[in-house]
Amino acid sequence: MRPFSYTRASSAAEAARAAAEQPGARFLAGGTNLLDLMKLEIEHPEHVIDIGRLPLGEIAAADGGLRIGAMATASEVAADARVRRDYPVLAQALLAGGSPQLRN
Amino acid sequence: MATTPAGAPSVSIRLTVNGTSRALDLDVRTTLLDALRERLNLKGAKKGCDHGQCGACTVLVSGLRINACLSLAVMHDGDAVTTIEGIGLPDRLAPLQRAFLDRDAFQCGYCTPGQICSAAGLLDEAARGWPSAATGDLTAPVKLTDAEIRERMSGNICRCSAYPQILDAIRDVAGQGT
Repeated sequence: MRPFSYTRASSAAEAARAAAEQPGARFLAGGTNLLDLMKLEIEHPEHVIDIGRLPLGEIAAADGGLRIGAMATASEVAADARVRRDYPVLAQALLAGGSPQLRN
Repeated sequence: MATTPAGAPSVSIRLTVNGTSRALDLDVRTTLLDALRERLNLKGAKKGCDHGQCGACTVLVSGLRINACLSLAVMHDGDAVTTIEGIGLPDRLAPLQRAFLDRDAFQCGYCTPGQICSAAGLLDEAARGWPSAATGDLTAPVKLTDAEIRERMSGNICRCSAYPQILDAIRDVAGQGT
């Protein structure tokens, strides 16, 4: 894996600013895809901005539907009672992908 | 927001590993798996494929199973990590470890720490009521049938193909309600 600078963002605005200031930066969330590609040097960002701790994982009722936060994990969405009751195809699709470890 | 420059030799982090707080200075590229194995000398979690496909590196972070090979140690600054060594040791085996021995649920044993950590995660996820791809009625309570256990262990590969015995071991423990 090639060297990169690492930044942990403490707010979404800060993450967006860091990305704007650093061309070629990549956001790091769960990392299961990005880090795999970085090991293979398919991805080789100079800057990595970790957004994993941002409070963006909420699943909330909105406008007659559900609003799913960008940091909600596949496991959390698939386990959500409203998703299972009202959007079972979404839960099934998530559960058909990856492995439990990757979905977490 | 602190930035570690590219090429910088080290970043300082702290992990709580199996209940003990550990401080580490490491290259920011270090995976959680390498930090555990090479820096903390916890050799239980194994490096099989190093690409998140085999599950040999499975550990629990904040109680949830993940592939330690696809996670940077620095992402887990402040987190609680449980490895096979924290599940149980030879003089005080956890029920899952006892069951794997009783059921002869391995041949070479390389995948076993990951299998057992994954099984621990499986039991917790089932207790939370999380569904799987084998769950027929997504709104019904989870029942750990053999098909459910197989599906929920699909992230762990056993090259010796001890799958029937692994299933037996996990079924034994799941049936105990632990």
